[in-house]
Amino acid sequence: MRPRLMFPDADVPPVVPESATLRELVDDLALEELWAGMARGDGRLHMIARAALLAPLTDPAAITYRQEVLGDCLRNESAVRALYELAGRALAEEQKIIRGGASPEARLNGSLRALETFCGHLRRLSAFAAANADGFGSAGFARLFRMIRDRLDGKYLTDVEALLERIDFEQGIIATARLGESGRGVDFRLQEPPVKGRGSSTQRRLKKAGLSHSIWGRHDEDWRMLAAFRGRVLEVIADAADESAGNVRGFFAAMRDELGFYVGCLNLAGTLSRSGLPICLPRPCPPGERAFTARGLYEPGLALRRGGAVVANDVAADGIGLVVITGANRGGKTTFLRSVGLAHLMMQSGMFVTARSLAASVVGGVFTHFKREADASMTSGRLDGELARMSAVVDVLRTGDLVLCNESFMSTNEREGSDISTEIVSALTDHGIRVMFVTHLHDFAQRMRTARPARSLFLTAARGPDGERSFRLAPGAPSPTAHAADLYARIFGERLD
Amino acid sequence: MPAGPEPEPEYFRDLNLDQIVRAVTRKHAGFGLETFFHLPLRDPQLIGFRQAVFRDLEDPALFQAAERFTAGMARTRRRLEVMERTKHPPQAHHWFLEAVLEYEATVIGLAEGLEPATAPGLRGLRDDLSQHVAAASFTGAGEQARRLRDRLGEVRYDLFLRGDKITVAAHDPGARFDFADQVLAAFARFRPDRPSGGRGNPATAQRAAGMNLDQVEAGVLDLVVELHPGVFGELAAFCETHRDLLDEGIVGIDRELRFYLGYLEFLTPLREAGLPFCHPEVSAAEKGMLAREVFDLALADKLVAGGGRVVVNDVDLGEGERILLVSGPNQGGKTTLSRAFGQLHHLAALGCPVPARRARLFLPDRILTHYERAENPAGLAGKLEEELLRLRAILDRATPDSLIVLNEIFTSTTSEDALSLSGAVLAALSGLDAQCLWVSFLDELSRLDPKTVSMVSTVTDDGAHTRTYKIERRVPDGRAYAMAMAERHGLTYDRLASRLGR
Repeated sequence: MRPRLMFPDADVPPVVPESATLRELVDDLALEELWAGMARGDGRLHMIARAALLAPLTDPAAITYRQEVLGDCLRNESAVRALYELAGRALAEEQKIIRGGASPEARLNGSLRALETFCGHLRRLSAFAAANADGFGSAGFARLFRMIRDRLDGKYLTDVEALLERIDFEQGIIATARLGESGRGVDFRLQEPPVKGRGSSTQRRLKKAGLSHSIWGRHDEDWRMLAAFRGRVLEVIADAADESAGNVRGFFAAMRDELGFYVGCLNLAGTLSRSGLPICLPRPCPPGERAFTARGLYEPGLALRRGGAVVANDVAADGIGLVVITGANRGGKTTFLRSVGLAHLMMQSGMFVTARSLAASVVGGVFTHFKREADASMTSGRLDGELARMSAVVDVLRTGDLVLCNESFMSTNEREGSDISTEIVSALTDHGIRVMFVTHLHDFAQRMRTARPARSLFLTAARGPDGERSFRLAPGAPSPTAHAADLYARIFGERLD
Repeated sequence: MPAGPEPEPEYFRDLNLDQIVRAVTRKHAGFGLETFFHLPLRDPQLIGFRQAVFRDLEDPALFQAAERFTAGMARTRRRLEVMERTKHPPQAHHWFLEAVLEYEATVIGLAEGLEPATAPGLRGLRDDLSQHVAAASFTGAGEQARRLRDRLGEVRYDLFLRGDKITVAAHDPGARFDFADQVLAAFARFRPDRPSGGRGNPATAQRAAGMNLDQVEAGVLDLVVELHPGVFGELAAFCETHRDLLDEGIVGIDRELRFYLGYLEFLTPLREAGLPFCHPEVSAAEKGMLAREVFDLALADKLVAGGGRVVVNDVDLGEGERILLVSGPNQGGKTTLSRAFGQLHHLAALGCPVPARRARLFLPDRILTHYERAENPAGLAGKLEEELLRLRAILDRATPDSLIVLNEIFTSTTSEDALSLSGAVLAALSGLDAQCLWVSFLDELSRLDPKTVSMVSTVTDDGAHTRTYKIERRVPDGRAYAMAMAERHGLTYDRLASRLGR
């Protein structure tokens, strides 16, 4: 029994992969800002948002499944937050139970108390579902509420509570065993605990057999050994209670974590809408279509930082394998690259995206290769480092992935940087990997333009005649200069010749 | 094979062979395997005999058969040890029964597992074993032990625990003993559809691992013995009859197989990392050598464990060539190559697979090495004197069939002095006609004698002296630095095409 609000037919994988490549992606796309916007200071929500965004879905149907759940959440915000809190409270209360130690008897007692606590919350969950199910229409929520109605009914809960009350060995333990290694008893199995008064038939038979071993000394050691023996006999029921409590805990934890993702979405959507910024549910397309058309695409991290208006771009790159972005410094190129990467990750985690509209083919994974400003080593070591990072990306690249390069291979001269970029970009695009490349390597941009004009799109950061920036990108031929002279002129107040 | 301990050869530490042997024998402590590694052979036939065994054991099926055998022997021994320690007869009898069963299965398992062997050594072993396990005494004990085990396995008893008392009775098959299952069933609906990792907890396993019963458990066992006097009586008689279980020959096989297994286990992670190993051609008559993609085994072990890259080199001594002079920039892998060269010869003389793609080697009568010592005598003059004394000792003991490895000598004197001293040593070595690898900062040495071959550690031409650790017979011609660098990272179009095409 699992909530299944994130995958129609699977639980959420518990671990987020860790790798250097992933850490760079997080830095380069400023994902921390996005997660902070979703978490609003809640560490667990941050963790959940992180896990969801770093494991993008690649099946459009799976994305749609989440989008529908998210739609329900946006329409029933307060109910969803209440359900999230219910799961959280169940887990918090169970957490408060004091555990006596690792001995089977202590484990058994702790697990019994946990199960009793959970039973109360299961009753509350059942009532919540009965009261709220009508307002939800997505397949995910419909399934969850139906499951709660069918499987957590009043009779079940009453039976379970009655069973828990009977697990009490005050009147002794009746067990059976077999001989294991060196004659030690193994495979203990238990009978129902005897009740006070009249003993069971087994109990009477045992008494008649008259074979018994007693601890009659006052030796602590003897009592300790007897307790250990009792523990070995009770192990099997302690394991059963442990496992049961763990599974119920797992159910509540899955519900809390899966809802936590949508609560994060609600948090972010709330902040953006208060700033008057648009969001939309994007249309995920099959990878083969190579679709990417966006209107009003903006970078959410920048929007959160500014708390208001940001520059948005329209991009029409359907069927395009390579986008080369050139043009003025501080022209919005890096921000644009981030907005594309984030749009893919958000769409593919089932989130809304920060745009007026977006239709894009799913990619296998998003990878970044951004220039590193603060590289303490010598220049020659820097190129080596850049190449090593690219090689690490290649190690995990698959056809259908997206690679975002930001001023890559600028740590050598233009000629060599262009040579290297040409080799790498040609190989990647020839293997069905989509590439977006921000560059000042004019030689490289020209070569790409000549070699593969049809499958490539060239964008430039626009610049007015007097050098002012709109931060908007528009299709256009690669610009031969990076307009560093403009920057120089602005900062030093005089022109370069 | 030798049984008594054999001291470590003098060159072991210089060549880091001691590290290799430590790593190889770590899992097999107490068997004195070090001795095998301290005794190089010079007879190509004996070496071929061992190489054949190694070749067979490189077949996973045969390797696993041998491994199962050593593991089974270890378990047998452990059970016998526990038996010795316990003073409670029913327990001791149980342990002995387990030991007999383990031993029987282990020995039969090896005889069967060696069926596909082709090496004469293993075929002979298999034939001996087949006879051994067919003998009536062996099969009789086994059958009886299994019968007893089965009967003991059928013993069931019921228990009642309350207060200070444990009561035992014969098992009542009509009673319901499924209470824990009832609890599990009540909560079964919360089970994840993909279980997260299985039940049970480590505390259980730990407790069960204690080999001897405590007094309460022993007390319960005594009650069970009273319930079933027949089978326990037979068990006691069985133990009395078969006291001397282990055959001395079988114990010896365990030790010898561990020599092969230990070495092959050591190679496994290195092979998985893609490093080449081969069974070298060896000769006690023909000098000269050839090794393709040779590397330092001790260093490779560390690098692979840490995820590092191992550099391999090609080394040749052709017709009339005797002395490899290795020069070039510092930290370029020269010392590593010298160790690899020495290790190659020693390991080949043990019959072991060697760290190289392909190798043809001369079997030296002895290996003599000179590496800088950490414990220097005071003063530079003292150091030079010490070096000269050590060189003198080497030249005194060397024969034309010896292998000599010299690493950075005369670094403490002026280069003019060093050159003249080195020239004299070179002349002596050349006159001796022994095979030699000499790491020196003096590249002029390579031009002084026709028996010498020059090898140079290379660096890239990038102005930053990026080290490649590659050592070549020629200086490489400089290529465009950035593209060469890209190539090294596998980022040219062609390399990418093959990396992405996987």
